[in-house]
Amino acid sequence: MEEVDGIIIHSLRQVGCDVEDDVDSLKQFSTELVIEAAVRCLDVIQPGLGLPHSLPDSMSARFRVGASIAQACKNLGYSGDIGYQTFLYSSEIDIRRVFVFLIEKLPKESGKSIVEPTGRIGVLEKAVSETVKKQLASPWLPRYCRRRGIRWYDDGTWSREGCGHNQPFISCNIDVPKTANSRGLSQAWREYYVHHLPLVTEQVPHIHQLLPSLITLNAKGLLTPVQPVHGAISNWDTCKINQQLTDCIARSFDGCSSAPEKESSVAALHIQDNDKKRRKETNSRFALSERLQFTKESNKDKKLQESDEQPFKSQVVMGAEKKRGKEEEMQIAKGEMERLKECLEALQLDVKKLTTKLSQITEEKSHEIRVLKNKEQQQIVKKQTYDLLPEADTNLSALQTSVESSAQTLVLLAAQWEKHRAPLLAQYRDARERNSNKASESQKKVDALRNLREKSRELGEEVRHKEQLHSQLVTEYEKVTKDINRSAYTRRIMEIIGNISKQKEEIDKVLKDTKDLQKEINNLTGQLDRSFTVADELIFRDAKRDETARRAYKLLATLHSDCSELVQMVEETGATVREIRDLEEQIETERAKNVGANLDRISADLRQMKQETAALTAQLNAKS
Amino acid sequence: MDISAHIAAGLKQLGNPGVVTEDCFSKLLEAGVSVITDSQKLPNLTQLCNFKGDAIKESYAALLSVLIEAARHDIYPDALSIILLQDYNFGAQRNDKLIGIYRQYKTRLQAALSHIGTHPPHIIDASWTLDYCIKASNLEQVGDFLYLIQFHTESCQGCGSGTSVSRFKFLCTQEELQDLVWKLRDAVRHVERIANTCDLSQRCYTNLAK
Repeated sequence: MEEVDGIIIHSLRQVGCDVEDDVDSLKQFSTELVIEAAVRCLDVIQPGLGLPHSLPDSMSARFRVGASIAQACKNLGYSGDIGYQTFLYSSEIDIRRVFVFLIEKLPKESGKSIVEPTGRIGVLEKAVSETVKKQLASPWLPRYCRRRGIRWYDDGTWSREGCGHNQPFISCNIDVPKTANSRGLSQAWREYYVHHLPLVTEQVPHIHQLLPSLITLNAKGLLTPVQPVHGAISNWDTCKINQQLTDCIARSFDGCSSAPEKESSVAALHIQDNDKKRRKETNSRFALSERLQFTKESNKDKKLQESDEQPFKSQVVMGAEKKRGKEEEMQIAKGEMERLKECLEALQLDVKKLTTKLSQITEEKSHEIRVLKNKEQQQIVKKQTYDLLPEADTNLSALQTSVESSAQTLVLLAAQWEKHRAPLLAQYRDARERNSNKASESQKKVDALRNLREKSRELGEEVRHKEQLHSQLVTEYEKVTKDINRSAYTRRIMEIIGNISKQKEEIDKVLKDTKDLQKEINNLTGQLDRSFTVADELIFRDAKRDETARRAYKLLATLHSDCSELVQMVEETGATVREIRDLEEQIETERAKNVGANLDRISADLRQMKQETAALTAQLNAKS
Repeated sequence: MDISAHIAAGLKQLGNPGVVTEDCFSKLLEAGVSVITDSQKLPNLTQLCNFKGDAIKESYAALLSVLIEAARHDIYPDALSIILLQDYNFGAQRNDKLIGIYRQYKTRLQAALSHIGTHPPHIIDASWTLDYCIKASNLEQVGDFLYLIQFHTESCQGCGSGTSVSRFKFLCTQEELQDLVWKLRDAVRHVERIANTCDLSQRCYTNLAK
């Protein structure tokens, strides 16, 4: 029974019943615990019964709870005798039977085998569907409740809703100081980097352009060939091979990413330039026209002065005509101005033409001067030859000797050069060979280094992978540990089965023994009967003649009857002993039902009920 | 995740305790994260640049770049830590600090990155009026319902912060409205199907397993 109790208590704990640790048999169960355990089991088997987990105070309510639990058990198909008394005034055996039944009815944990989708696409699909499900499940949020267009969930994840606060990908060039090859930089550059270059965050015109600009910076750095001085050695070879290609890509990329920026700046510059030029032009034109006007006016003034002198005398006479005359003068002056303007333009054109002509002429002049110099040199040479002409032979021989000597010196020098050259060449070749050796060695080392780095990275990856696997396995293992109980139970069940078979063997043995004994007893009785009849006949035959034989026969008859009486007595004693044992067993079972205590409790409950009833009646009376 | 050579040089500077002090490193880290995640305010770092200003500027740029690139490629913090430790000679303390910040702010960095992009206008609200047309100038009896629908949409602006909310109206008859509703229902059903694909495929797998 210990085993069964252990299994029952374990199952009840799994259902969620609060059984204390030191309780290890059903005998120790209190009424409350019994009720709670039964209700929890029923809840798991048939959710939605709505039975209370603890007993109410009122006696009648208790009775009702017990009756409803019993009814629920009957509905589930419990065949034994069950009622409210089974739970309220529990006997160990009944309770055990009920719990065994309920635990058998508990739903088996169906093997929930969730197959994780594998592969990148599967994982991605799962993530997408989970995100969409989460977004569908979340309630609608008005626009002004989102933080910069993003909804944040409680678990720290987010989803973008709508398109508020979005910025297009506009990047600009940002300049980052390069300290790694600072030796190659001039002092001025370093000064600029240290003191004047703003931080990257301050270089962008708007802070929203920071992220695109940084992404572009990195991408640009990846695409441009690496400087051999400070670049990563591993990249150098491939870069060398693909230099032209990357160059090309980088150039186009450069054009792509910052084209608008550059173009706009260039355009701005152009515009500015044009503006300036125009302004200058306008300035100059304005100044010119002003000057012209002024000159004209001064001219006019002069003319007017000149012309004024004459009409001045007749001013009084021709007062009315004066105005007209002035207007005419104005017209004339305007016409003159126009003419002067044209003249000026023509002159300007002339100036232009003349400047071009001047430049042409200067060019021609320089050319001529060059020709002249050449000719002068030729003339000098020719003059020298003419000077030598009168003593042609001697000069010729002298020239020949000088030529020979110079040839000899040349040969000598060549020999000397060879002498110097040979060892130097050998040295050079040697050095070159050594250099190439060194280069190949260093190349090998670089290769080895790269391999090692790759390997270490791979190993790191592997380690991480393994760690993940390990943690996964650990969690799985933790999940699995629950099943140890099951194996223990099966082991115990196997042991119990073994015990039972052993007991069965023993019982068989005992039965066989009893049968043997019975047979022996039968044999002996038969033998006894036969020997008795033989002895009886013998003695009876002699008894007719002999007195002693008659006495012997009488004694035999009394012996036989006494013995049979004795046997009967022994048999009766055995029966009585068996009966006693039966009665003792019955007493034991009755005692197990602890009728006395239950009776006490029942009578106490009855009294309480009566009191409650009385109180209720009193209340009813008082109300009525 | 690929890091260009310039940025790599900057990272090495950042990991070098002789160039960037521990205190300075913490400040840079704090400033970098706040610049990326909350672009409203710019932290003042000028006093940090007094000593070896060029190196500080370079390492700051490298720090920002590496945070952005890591968040962009959705790198696990552990993987990033291995990269930093192996390739850029980061000390354990510095590495832990950076990885801790990265672990804490990764989703927010990604959210900040999600602000980049252009989208079609997004409907945020709708209002409508129902008209009943009794009669028109050319017809004695029309007897049609006319729905005047107004969509409120938000769209991203080219530059500067904030969004612009614009409205556009259209008029439709009952049939056209019905058509629109069906289309919308189709779209909703499609989204629901996407949400349930995972379950479906799982059910298939379990069936196959059985």
